[in-house]
Amino acid sequence: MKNSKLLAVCFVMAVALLTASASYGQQVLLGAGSSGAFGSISIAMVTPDPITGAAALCGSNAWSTGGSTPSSLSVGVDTRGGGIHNEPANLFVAWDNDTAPTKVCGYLAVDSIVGERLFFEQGPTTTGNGYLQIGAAAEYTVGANKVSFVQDNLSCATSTGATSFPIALSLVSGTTLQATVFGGGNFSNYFANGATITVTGSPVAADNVSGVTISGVTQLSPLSFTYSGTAGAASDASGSATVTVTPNCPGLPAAVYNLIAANPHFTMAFSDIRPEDALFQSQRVIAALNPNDPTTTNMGYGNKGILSAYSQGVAYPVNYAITGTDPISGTGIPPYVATAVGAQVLMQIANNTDTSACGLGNAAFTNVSWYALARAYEGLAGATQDLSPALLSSAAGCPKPLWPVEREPLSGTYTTREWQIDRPYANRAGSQENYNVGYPQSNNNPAACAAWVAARPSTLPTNPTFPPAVAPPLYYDSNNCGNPLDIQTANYTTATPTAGPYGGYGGNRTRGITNGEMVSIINSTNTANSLGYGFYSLGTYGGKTRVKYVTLDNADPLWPSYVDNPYGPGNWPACTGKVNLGTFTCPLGQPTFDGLVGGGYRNWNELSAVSYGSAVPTCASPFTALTIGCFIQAAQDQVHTYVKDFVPYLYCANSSCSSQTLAMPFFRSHYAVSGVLPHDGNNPAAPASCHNVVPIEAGGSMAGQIFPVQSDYTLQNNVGCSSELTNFFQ
Amino acid sequence: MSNRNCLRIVATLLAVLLTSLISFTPCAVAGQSTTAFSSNQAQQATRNSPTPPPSGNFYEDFNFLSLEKSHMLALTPALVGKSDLPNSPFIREHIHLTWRLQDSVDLYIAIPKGVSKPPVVLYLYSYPETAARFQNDPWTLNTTSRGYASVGFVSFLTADRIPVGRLASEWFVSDLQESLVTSVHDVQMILNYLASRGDLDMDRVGMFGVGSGGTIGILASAVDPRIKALEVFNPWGDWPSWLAKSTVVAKEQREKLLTPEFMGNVAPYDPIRWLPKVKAENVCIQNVRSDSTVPVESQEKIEAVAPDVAEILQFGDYDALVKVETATGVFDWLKLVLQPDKKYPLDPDKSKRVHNYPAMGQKYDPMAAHP
Repeated sequence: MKNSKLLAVCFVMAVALLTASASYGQQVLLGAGSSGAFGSISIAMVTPDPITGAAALCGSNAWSTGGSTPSSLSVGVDTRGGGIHNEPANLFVAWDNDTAPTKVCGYLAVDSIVGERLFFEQGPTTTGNGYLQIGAAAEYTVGANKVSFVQDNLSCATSTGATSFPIALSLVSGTTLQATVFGGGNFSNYFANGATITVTGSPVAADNVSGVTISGVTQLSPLSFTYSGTAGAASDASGSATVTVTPNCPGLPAAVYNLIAANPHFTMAFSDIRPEDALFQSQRVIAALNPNDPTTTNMGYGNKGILSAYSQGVAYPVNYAITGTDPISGTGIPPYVATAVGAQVLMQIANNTDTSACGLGNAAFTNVSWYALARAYEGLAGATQDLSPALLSSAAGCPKPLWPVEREPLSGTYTTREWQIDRPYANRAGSQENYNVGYPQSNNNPAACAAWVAARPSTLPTNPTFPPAVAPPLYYDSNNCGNPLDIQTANYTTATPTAGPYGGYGGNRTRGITNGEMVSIINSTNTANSLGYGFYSLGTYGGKTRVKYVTLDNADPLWPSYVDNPYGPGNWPACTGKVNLGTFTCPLGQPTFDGLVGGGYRNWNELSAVSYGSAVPTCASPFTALTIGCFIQAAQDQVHTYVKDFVPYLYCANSSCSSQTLAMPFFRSHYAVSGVLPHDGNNPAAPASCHNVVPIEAGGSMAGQIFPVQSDYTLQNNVGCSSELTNFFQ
Repeated sequence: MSNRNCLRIVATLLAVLLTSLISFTPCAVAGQSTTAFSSNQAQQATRNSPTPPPSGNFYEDFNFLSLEKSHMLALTPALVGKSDLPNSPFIREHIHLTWRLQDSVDLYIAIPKGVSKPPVVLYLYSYPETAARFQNDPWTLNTTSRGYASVGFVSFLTADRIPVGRLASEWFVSDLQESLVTSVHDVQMILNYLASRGDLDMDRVGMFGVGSGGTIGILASAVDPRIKALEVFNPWGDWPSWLAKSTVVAKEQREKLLTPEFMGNVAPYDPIRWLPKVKAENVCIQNVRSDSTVPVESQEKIEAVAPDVAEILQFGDYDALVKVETATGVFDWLKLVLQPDKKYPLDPDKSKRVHNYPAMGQKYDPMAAHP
């Protein structure tokens, strides 16, 4: 090497060392993406690998926070500025040491396409890609246990609580009381937002409460906090009241908080759809629609948010790229690799509260065909009887309106559903946004229903109701709202009265933003005959007693058959405990995903881990290095053993992981999209000739035809390793 | 230590002992390029030593595809392993062959039981595929069915066939001329060895080559008439287009290869030049248009220079191929043309020897609203 080159390399290395924020031995891995994978990935961070026995990859300490409103403590930030909205979402953080952390991991559940955008977008030179921003209140806010089956703040669970403090109480509004230490002074660190307290001794009985949580804490060892008394609460300056707090961790340890703040950029994304598909869908959402073509492929949300019909939730489409240069900043985008983590099934769900002869809750409604679903979501079928002949009845009250609820088109869930049910090869003109994006005055003209839009609740109610019909009048015209979606089903045309094909029984198609909204809507007592969909996870559906699932084309995604479900047909597993406490249990077992691994269920997709680089990430013994390869391996081993939210693509076959078991015997044919050539990436196990020499997985897959993996292996073995079944569409 | 490693060490030691007898070919040969190789100049200098070969000693001329200018000395073949299971319809041997310094060829020979002097087919898959499939029973059952012997091996600078001292940056395509010529020499030396065994019908020899193996098959068939039938699958070739567009070449490597010097070095070994000269009596060229390892324009140029004895099968994608001949049926054509006492019927109308099978995969632009 020439001296000048050597000097240059040394200089670059020196600069890199000087500017590295994490000290030697400190590692931070931050992911963003799929909310469906939030639980599984988070559990893998804080639990020892159940197969290899390797220690918990990120340590055993956990804390979580967040929400979908702008006030969320955790947000994803797009570095390109220019008015791009922050992305509030749930966050899970794991770490190995409270005061001197060497490993810190985080996962921000912003959904797939947003996660990919935050990962890929590149700000102006040296700015880097998207990053995680956590509010300072994290340090004095107790964990919110956002991940099902994981106990937050485990490291402090046995800490002793503070002693009792005499308090002075001031009524600030309604029954809200502000407490200060009587005579002045600070409370201890245990008084954190979300901490549980007991107040006794106040002469105002309504001020004395037990087991309530506090808020209004603005620092460690706060000077005051607020809580809710009961009716009749009043100020009390006597000093006779005292407060005790339940032992807890004060929040995210300062050292962990600071380490993330110094290394905030996302190092990986987890997505329900591959990057090539995500970019394609994002561009489809943004591109201008043709209002005269109801089957237009584009949606025209380029300069507007996509609104929920049930809350003021909103999803913002923003352009980005996965190769070349960023379309906004012009900065180059590093090469990436998207690694298959597993396969997850999209459930077809319905509200089960209407058990009448034509209600979706009727036990006879057990199955739906893909085309019946497609028609319902295209607005071409309006009554429950259109879904299943089991619901065709002449009983009083029948037919009944059907209420399809869809997700925002920017979600991986919507996208998977769209290209496998609503717009597959056999129904190429279909779309869940049919008669919306193409209909004049729909989402092109949100001002037409501005008052209705403004009246939506700020956050989703606990027990949501269907949004009110847009009035007047009660038929499909320019006053119907396309954004947020709230249009009558059953192919109504302009000025067609409600007495349409179903004599007025057509329900409305509506939209919920985020998986949480979708499940809450379907799980309501007020949303009979609502229909929805979402990726399966135990945390999402466990305990949802008003939600049932049905088979798709007679294939059960979870069990050998609908009647083989040990929890009852259409019911969800009932599991309890915490994985990181060793108390997690599912007495009747967890899904075996028979429809998926048997190849008969058509609505599923690959969960991908997206990272920078050109090679598939790997993990070497002892499997404790905080690398993306080990992260993927830990997630796959976890999901094979503990919380079985999806089928891992591979998992370790033994404690030394000398080989891996292929758990998902089917794949979707990959195809060229977003400028990326397709490769299925089916890498046979050693010692096959094609082991580790088949092209790395690339291209789109969400719309691909389903084949057995062996079909690619057979081709490779006989015809050569570059042979593969690509460009087949479902 | 495995038997294979032990034999390799012994072979290497023997080769070292032979060093004094070995010299390398002069790079300046009348009518040939004087720049034999483009990388690792230190080794090149040794390889391209101008010292003329001592008469009767080993040397290898990397500028000629045929062995006529080389004098190869093969060590005694070493039997590494033999499998003769009672219920297996074939006997499989693993033979270690050495005829150059720090390099050897592992040959996997499968002979159907109960067949005297069976016809034989050489199988050479593409860089970077390993030899594992040759030890794989389903593959061997398919290739030896109906009484044919199969002989599998890997090309130079492929899989674990990397001579000691080679840099990681030196790979099959970066040293394309050397990789091709060395492997073509290997084919001829392997045929010599097979002939010396006496248990194979050397009048009925076929070769099945995929990708780079197809290229080597074309070049070998152009200089060795013992190959009576040649079937190539997606052969690499038409170097300017192939080097510019094939997905075998990574983006960061492509620039170094698209130089006039490199192009000049590999041009003499482009199958476009040699395909019209193949000596095989029957040739089958199968191309899959969707396979990005060989650009469509390269496929078309190779097909355009096919000899009159060639049949051409054009598949839109692999599903079209599987529909026509099944994944395991790809070996049937060679068996058909190597049948004893039967002349393979070849349509005199060239246009009828080109078979086009459109893609079965539904290709469409997903942005389009309507099919």
